[in-house]
Formats: sequence, structure tokens, C-alpha cells
Amino acid sequence: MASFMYYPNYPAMSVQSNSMATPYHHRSGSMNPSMVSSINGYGCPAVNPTTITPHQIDGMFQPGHGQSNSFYFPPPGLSYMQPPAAPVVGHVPGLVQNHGHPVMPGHSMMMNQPQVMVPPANNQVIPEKEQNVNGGVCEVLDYELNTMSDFVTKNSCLSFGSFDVPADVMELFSSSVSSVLGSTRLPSVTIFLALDYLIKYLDLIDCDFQSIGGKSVDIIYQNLVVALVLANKFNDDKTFTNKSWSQATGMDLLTINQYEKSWLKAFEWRLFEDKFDTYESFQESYNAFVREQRLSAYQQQQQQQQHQLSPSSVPTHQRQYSSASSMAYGYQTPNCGHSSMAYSSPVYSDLRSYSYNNGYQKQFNCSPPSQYSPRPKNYDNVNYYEQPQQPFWNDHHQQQQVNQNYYCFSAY
Amino acid sequence: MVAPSQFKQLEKVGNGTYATVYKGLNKTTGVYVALKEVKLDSEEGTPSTAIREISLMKELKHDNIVRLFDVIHTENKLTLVFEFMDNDLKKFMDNRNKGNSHKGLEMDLVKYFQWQLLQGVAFCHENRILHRDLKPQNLLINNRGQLKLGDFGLARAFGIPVNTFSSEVVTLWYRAPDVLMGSRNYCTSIDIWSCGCILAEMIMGKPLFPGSNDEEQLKLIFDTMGTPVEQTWPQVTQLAKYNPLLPPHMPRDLKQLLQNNTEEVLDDNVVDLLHGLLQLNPDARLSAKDALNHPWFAEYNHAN
Repeated sequence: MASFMYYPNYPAMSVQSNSMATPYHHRSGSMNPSMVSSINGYGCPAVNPTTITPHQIDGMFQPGHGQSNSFYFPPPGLSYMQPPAAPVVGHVPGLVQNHGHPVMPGHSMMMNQPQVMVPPANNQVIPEKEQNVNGGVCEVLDYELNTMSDFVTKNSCLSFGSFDVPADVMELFSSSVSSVLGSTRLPSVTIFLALDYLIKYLDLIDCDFQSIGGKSVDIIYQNLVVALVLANKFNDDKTFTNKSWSQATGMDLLTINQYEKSWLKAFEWRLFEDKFDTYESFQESYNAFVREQRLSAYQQQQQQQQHQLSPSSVPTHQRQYSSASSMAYGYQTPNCGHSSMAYSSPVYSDLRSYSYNNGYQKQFNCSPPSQYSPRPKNYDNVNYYEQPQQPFWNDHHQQQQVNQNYYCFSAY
Repeated sequence: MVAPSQFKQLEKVGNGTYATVYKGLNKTTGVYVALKEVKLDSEEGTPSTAIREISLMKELKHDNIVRLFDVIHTENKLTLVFEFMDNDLKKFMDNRNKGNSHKGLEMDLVKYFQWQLLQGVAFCHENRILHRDLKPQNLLINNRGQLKLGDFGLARAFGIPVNTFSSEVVTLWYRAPDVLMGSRNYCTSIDIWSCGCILAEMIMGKPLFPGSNDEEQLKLIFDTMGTPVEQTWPQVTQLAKYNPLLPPHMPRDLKQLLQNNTEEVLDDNVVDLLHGLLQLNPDARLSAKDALNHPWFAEYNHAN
């Protein structure tokens, strides 16, 4: 009985008979669900005026937002993409094209220079006008844009087992990601979901990179975009059309459609198979990344102070890559590593959670064993999970962690 | 993946801008199916409604949830192959109403349907899925009296933190007061409110709160259930669309209200369950599991 003791039973009040025959009844007009033609319960949301329609955001989308940062727009000439089939009509950021869906900023990166990546001019900042924060999924982002972009970029490369991407390429990649995230304003949970999809997709195709055109940064970027498209469509109440994605990412619309279709096929549409139980691992991993970035920035600041007399000796672009997070360190093995790679076997925490590995193995039992698998190296150690589960990701352990590289960027 | 030619397309069952539903015949097995056809637009890509509906329903295999058998993805069309159901609860009830008279269902049937509804909802919630559009039209029934949840186009996953939801969900009449007042962090309780509205509607043969806009919907709810105050619903005044000028109403006697609209004799248990489902404060609403353990369902629970 206890279960229904916690709501009050209101005192009885006298009720006039036919109290429901209020003037409101039969006055419902077109909003009256009973008057809306129904196609029975197989559903037809669009005929119902009171339910949301897909990509509701598009109508009020305002490219750009109030945040100002130098990575907001990718530098001219940056392109990880093949050029679009047809050039997109240029537009002024802030204006909405009057045909079809509004444009997300960022397609300035679509230049007809495939595979050409020009390093950004230092301190290049494209001024942003006062703009609404109305566009995108979230008004308030639950992350710092550049940090998240770096995180996403590195994770994406790690998923492909690409450890040797030059720093300047990484930076360009990251600024493109920043542009995409800045215009779509996805919540972090959707971004993590996308990264999870990316890992799973590569596993589903058995890391047969040839089948998806290789593992160049272009390919990584394109697959990341499709992961974001699907995560947004699955997880957010505000979604974008593929055309909007095309405009935001510079990726050809037909290619997005084609990728989307092959991804859904590979997943057999099961985008919620494990209930996204890696979410917390991603969140922890991101938090660690943020702390590391801060420490790195701090260290660099110290360094700069020491070298004040010769400031030119500190290349600015080293900010993100010269730290302990550098690719030179062994990361947790991504889902499909390379046999030639000698990982330096970082110490694993409890973060590569048991549940994740369990779930992952269960669902993706096609995944190759041994070092190709996402399992930690010491997975087979029977004592592994019996080790004290010390929550060393807490902030007060920060210093120690970072110094010992007790972390990785990816969640597996 | 099955070949489209495996199905013979029969009569149209329903129509809309998002999808068209046909009755179909599986030529190999002789089994009837429902074919939900979604036209694909190259600018939109695969519609998010379809992505959700398919990916969520693939995880929901339960007797009280319409089974998705297959998905056929061609260049310009997406066909969802569902188990065929003869009817939906709305049509079923409408067919019993002649003219302007309202006649609810027999209480035994009400109980059987409500039990199945709550079973389906409990299964969704266990699997971290919110339906978000429960209403009689979306409850499919077959000639064996089985009731199954359909149309997961508005459904979404929950349980992942740091997330806000749209408040533009659920058909108005079945939309919870917290959602009407702009709450964006609702959870399973959003579906429970709808279950309460549906229970009352099955008893009375007409909708409990047939508002025509958000404001009137809230007024109808508060007229019957009482106007919420901080004492009965902490933090209600903090909700985005809370209206401090709402006229205070004491809650009405639900039992009498229902009894006036049915020829069946109501017992206190069903009214108590209804109270539990229709709590204004979402935190006070019963869970689907709790509701299934309510004494009103004693005969089903003892049978197990």
C-alpha cells in the first residue's frame, strides 16, 4: 500500500452533475485532436498540430551565436572535403537564405581545393557581429567550444587509429569541428553519443578502412559529421536537415545522405542498443581532458614567463599539442588499433568500465580479439576489476593524474 | 532485410504528411502487416522521427508494444513493416458512441486495457524510453482484445543527464500540467499523466480534459484537480509558464465526476489509481510499475 500513500486524497467536494459539459467541450476547433484525421496508431505526427515537427529549429535558426572565438570560422582555404557537387551560394553570416532551410555558418570552408589544408594565419579572427543565441540546439553550451573541439578531434583520430596526424593538421581539423559545433550548438551528450557511434561504426565495418575510402583526415571528418548527424537526429528535440548539415560542414549533401544510409544499414538502425551506457566514461574522459588542457595552459604560461626575453621561441600553436597529452604517449587502444603500434600501456582506471566492455563485446561480437579490441590491455587480468576502485578523477587528484598520464581521451 | 516485393500492398489505413500506412500481406507467410511508408526528402535526409521510431522500437519487444518487423530503405522511400492491428482505441470507443451520447467501456474491459497500457509503458520506461505521445489513437487493439503502444515518432531516450526536452510534446488533451507550464526536465511522469487521462476517457467515453489551447487545457485540469500551490507541489511557482493569477480551485470529487458519466458502478480502487496517475506534481505521480501493483489490479497480480 505504501506506494500509493504519498499523494494526497483530496477531500470530496460536491460536484454538479455533467460538470464536464463545460463550454470548453466542443469548442475545440482545429486544435481538437478528435478532429484531426488520424491514421491510427501507426502514427502520423505531422498531422497533429500540437506535436513537434522534425527540425523545428530550422525555421528560427540564426547562424552564429554570441560567443566569440578565433576558431569560429575556419580559415579560408581550409578544406577536408571534396568540393561539393555544386557550389553553394555564398551568403553573409547572419542572413537566412530564403529558399529551403537556413544556412549554418561554416561553409566558407568549402573551397574548391580538395585535400589542401592551409595552416591558419595566426590570430586570425573573423569578427562576429552581435548575433542571437537563438540558433542551434542549446542556448547555453555545457562545454567550452575550443576544448570540446579538440577533444572531439583527437577522439575521432584515435578511433581511426590515426596517431600521427601533424599538429597543424590537427589544429585545422579542430577549428573545422569548432565551426560545426559552434553553429549547431549540440549538447555535450549528443557529441559524446556521436563519438560513441563513430567507434561502433568502425567496429561494425571491422575497421575495414579501405571500404570507406581510407583513413585520411578527410574521411575521419566526414564520418564524424555523419556521426553527429545521427546523434542529433536520435537524441535532440531540435534537429537539422541534412542540407543544413551540409552547409555547416562543407560536406556534400548527397554524400551525407549516402553516408547516413550506409551507417544506418551497418547499425541495422540500432542506435540505442546499449542505452548509451558509455556516457559517463565519455563525460569523465572529457573532464580529464579539460583539466589537462588547463594545466597545459598554465605550464605554458609559466614557460612563457621564463622566456619573456625571447618570446618568439614559443610557437603559439604548441599550446594544445606540446603537453603531456601529446600523441606521443600511449593512449588507450582504440577499437581498432594497428598491430604495428606499440602502445605504452597507460595505467587504466576503473573508467574503462566493466559495463562498457561487457556491453560492447556483447553487441559487437564481430569485433576482432586481442589488440584490435576496445578492451583494456589488462582486461584479462582477473584481478583487474577487483582492484580498489579509487575515484582518482576527482579534482584533488588532478595534479598527480596528469603527471602520470593516468587518463586517456577516449572512453573505452 | 526483406524485398519489398514480398509484401502485397492492400488498402490504405491512414494518411498524413509524414507517412502513409497501408495494410499489407506478407506473400510468403500469409500474415497481414502494416506498411508505414515514409517519403524521403533529399534535403532532410532520413527523418529524425523515423530514426527514433525505428531505433527505439527495435529495442522494445513486448506483448504490449507494436512489433516492428522490418525496415525497407530504398532510394526515395522508407517502409516500416509493423505487425498488423485491427483497430485503435479511439476508433473502438467512437464506434460505441452513437450521435452525441457518450458511453464508456465496461469496467472489465477498461481494466484489461489499462493493465496492458501500463505494462507497455512500464516496459518502455524500464528501457529508458519515453513515449511522449500516448493517446487513444496511438493505442492499437486487435480482435483478441490485445492493446499495444504504437507510433514512437515522438519518443526519445532518457536517463542521460544534462539534457533538456522539448515541451511541445504529447497531444494537448493528454499533456501533463508540468509540461504545459513549460517544464523541460520531465521524465517518465509525462507518460503517466497521459495514462490517467486515457483511463478516465475509457470510463466516461469522452476525453477528460478536452482543452483547445495551452491556457484552457491548464484551466480544465485545475478546475477538476485543484489549483496547485507550493504546499501541494513544491517549486510549481518556479515553472516558466506558471500563472500566479490562476483562480484557486479546490479539487473536485473525481469519483462523482466519473460516476456521473458512466453506467458502470465505480469502486474506490479505480478512483484511487486515477488519483495516483493524475497527480499534478510530477514527482508525486505513480510510476507505471507502482500502478501495476495497485489493488485495482489485484486479480491480475494474484493470477501471476
